Amino acid sequence: MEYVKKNMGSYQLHMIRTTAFKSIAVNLFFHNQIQKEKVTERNFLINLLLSSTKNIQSKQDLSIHCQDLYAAQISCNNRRIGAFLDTSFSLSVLEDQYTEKGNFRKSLELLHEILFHPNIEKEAFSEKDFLMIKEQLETNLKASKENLSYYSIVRALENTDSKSPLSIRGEGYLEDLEKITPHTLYKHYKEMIEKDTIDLFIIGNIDFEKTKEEVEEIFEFKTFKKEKGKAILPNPKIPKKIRTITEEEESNQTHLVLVSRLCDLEEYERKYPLTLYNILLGGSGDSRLFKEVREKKSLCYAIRSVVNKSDNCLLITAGITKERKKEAVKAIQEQIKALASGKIQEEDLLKAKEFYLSSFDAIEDSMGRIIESYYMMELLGVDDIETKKKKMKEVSVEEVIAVAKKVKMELVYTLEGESYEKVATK
Amino acid sequence: MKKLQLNNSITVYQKKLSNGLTVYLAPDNERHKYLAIYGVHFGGSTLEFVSPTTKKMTRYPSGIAHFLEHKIFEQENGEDPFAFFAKSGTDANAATSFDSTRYYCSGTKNFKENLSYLIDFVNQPYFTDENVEKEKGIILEEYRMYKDIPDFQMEEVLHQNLYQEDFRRFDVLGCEEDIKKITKEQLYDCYNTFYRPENMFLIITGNFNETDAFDVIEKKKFPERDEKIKKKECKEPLKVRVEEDLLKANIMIPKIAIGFKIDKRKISLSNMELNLYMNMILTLTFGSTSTFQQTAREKQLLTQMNYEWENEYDKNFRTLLFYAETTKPDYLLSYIFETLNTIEIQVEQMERQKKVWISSEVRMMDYVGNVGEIIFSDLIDYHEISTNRIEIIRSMNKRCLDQVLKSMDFSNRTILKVIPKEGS
Repeated sequence: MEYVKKNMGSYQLHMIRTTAFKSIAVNLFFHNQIQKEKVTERNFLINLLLSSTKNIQSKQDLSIHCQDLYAAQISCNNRRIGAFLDTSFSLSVLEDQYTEKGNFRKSLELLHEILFHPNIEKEAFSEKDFLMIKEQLETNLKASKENLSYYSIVRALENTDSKSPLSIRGEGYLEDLEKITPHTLYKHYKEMIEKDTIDLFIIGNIDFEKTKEEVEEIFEFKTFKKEKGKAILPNPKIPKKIRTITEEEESNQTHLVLVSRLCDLEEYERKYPLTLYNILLGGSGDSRLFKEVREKKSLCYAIRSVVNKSDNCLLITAGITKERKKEAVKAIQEQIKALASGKIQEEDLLKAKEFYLSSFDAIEDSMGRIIESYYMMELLGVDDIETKKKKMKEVSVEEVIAVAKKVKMELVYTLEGESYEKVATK
Repeated sequence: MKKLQLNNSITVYQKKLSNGLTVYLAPDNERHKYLAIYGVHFGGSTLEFVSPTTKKMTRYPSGIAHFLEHKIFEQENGEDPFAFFAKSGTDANAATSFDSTRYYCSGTKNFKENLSYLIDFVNQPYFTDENVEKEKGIILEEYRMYKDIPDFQMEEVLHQNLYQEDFRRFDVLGCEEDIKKITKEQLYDCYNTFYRPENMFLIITGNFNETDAFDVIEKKKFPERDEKIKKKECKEPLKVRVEEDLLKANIMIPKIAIGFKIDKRKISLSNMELNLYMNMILTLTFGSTSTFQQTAREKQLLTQMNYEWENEYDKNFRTLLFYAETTKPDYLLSYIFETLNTIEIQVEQMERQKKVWISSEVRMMDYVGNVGEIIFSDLIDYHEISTNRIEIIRSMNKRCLDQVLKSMDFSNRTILKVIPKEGS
């Protein structure tokens, strides 16, 4: 696998050559500082861009265009990475040798058409598409509460720090949807194209020079390059005490979310020992939480911990029975304390390292994961794959314990369902 | 040993061992990861069979195949299989469907040791009254987790309304009362009946050496059983059980579900051909390039819709299921029925879709998981692997498609409306 990065002035072009796949994948990333009031609009925008273009007037026709290019797949996604809102447009298509000469170039041109020739008249998006997407988003936003497991995490983060980007709902807000118009969307579109930082990745069995030339001919960005600040959120204050918040919802299960802050982490700790700490705690099927809380105490089916490195935050989620909430919280806290008090065997750490390294080896089996790995180097300044492997192997038990001591629980949030007796007699 | 070519891309070594176990090995050393699936033809829809203990036809609690899947991970020496696989950073898990249960591991290291352990732990489970009781707490939490998902509730009720006799009317997870009743003796009955080499299969894909794999497999001891498997054959009537039903759920936007039972006795196509033609008809009529989707979007009729042409398990009928979320349930229902009764497909559309499917077949060969899934699905759906899928797709034609369309009768159906509970 070979990697080159070219500074194209208004954007960075990253090319990765590999013969392991029959497809070529393209990812175009836009990022900028996240603003809560803009998230809904960005979601609206990407849905609109994938609905029609100036020259392809409906989603039906756009789908047919993709199919004619031997099932080129084009999609778009928004996500928050720490303090950034990150939007990516993805294209995946078979190499020309499996289709016909020029098919990849035509696919790139279609991606360009979607991005640079939106369905706009008089500086506003098409009213017809606008109304369709608005209805769809409104329904999605109303329905987001139906997924109680997801909703409990959203509410836990909102209750942790409502002013921090970590509490921003990825799907957006109903009240913001009402303020959006075809004109404001066009303004937002212009801002994204002109002001966001852009990284374009292409991976596959490609010729670097030829691909660069094609990209230069097709894509023209006139981006204002401006320092976008840091993705990682500021170091949180050590919570004075653990807060408990309980909300109610009609459900069979009670959803438990424990939010911990990662205080005063050093860069090295965030990159390496923290990853292993999370695998040991609840990040694998062999974790402490899985073995002790699920397998030994039968308190839950699903339990896991997730570390949001750029948020300085660690979440533990579990679906439990209301009556056993105290028992579950106690059992989880015992495991957190055990790690902080140094109860980590060398053998356990070796297993956590193997888990990480094995998943790392498998990165090269997925074009998407290879791109993501290089993009995170660009965005968060993480080390390259070989350095990561080497440094992860060298992490000591003491370094993981030091990280465990910096995990400070802030909130026990519960989205409480009905009592077991009531459910059983339904 | 047979040497097959999957889509002219991946070599599959197929061998039936003397004990009856069929092994499928599809090495691809361009990849880093391997995937090993050890599976059994026993799932949630088998609830009545001749017990190896009493020798009589016996009814078992719903959810027992799934419960057994959980308990297979219990070993007499107390070793946790997850912990074993974790030593080499290998991922392991299991899944139960109506027709099968599979155990798998996937990783980049210790191939021989992990394959050996996968076979051993499935072949040597250990059930006690205590460990069965302990598992009930975990499974009941899993059951309650799914019960809180409106789409799961909708699917469960749709199956209940579609079937009169077939055990598919129960979810794979079972119902709460049945889960609580399951005993270690019942689990051993299921295990001793179905977990036998001739009723099982082993699939390995990705980065491994086929000689290493055969070395491991051929040294293994597999359970030997004398009696043949005797399952109750459910005589499911053609007619749906309930034609219309209403469910109130904790949702914000209404949903609809439709289940069709379609008489297939007059169709002479193979199972795979019928699946391809029906999927062609459904994709072109309801998929992303369809006029149905475009009109539904413009009229703001739906926010999402899925359809599923289910696998064959009854010789008389096939089932077609629709699920949709909509603010206008009655309007959408009428539009779906009107569309089904006026389907017209052009040759040009068909050719485009064939191109899409062939591209997708080529692409799938790049992923270890996809290759494993193709072989697994073929075994469950067709009891053999189809090596010439691309050729079959190429040979699809309008005349055959029209014949399939002509034989479809969409009148035997159950409709379920799901509406928000008051206060939702």
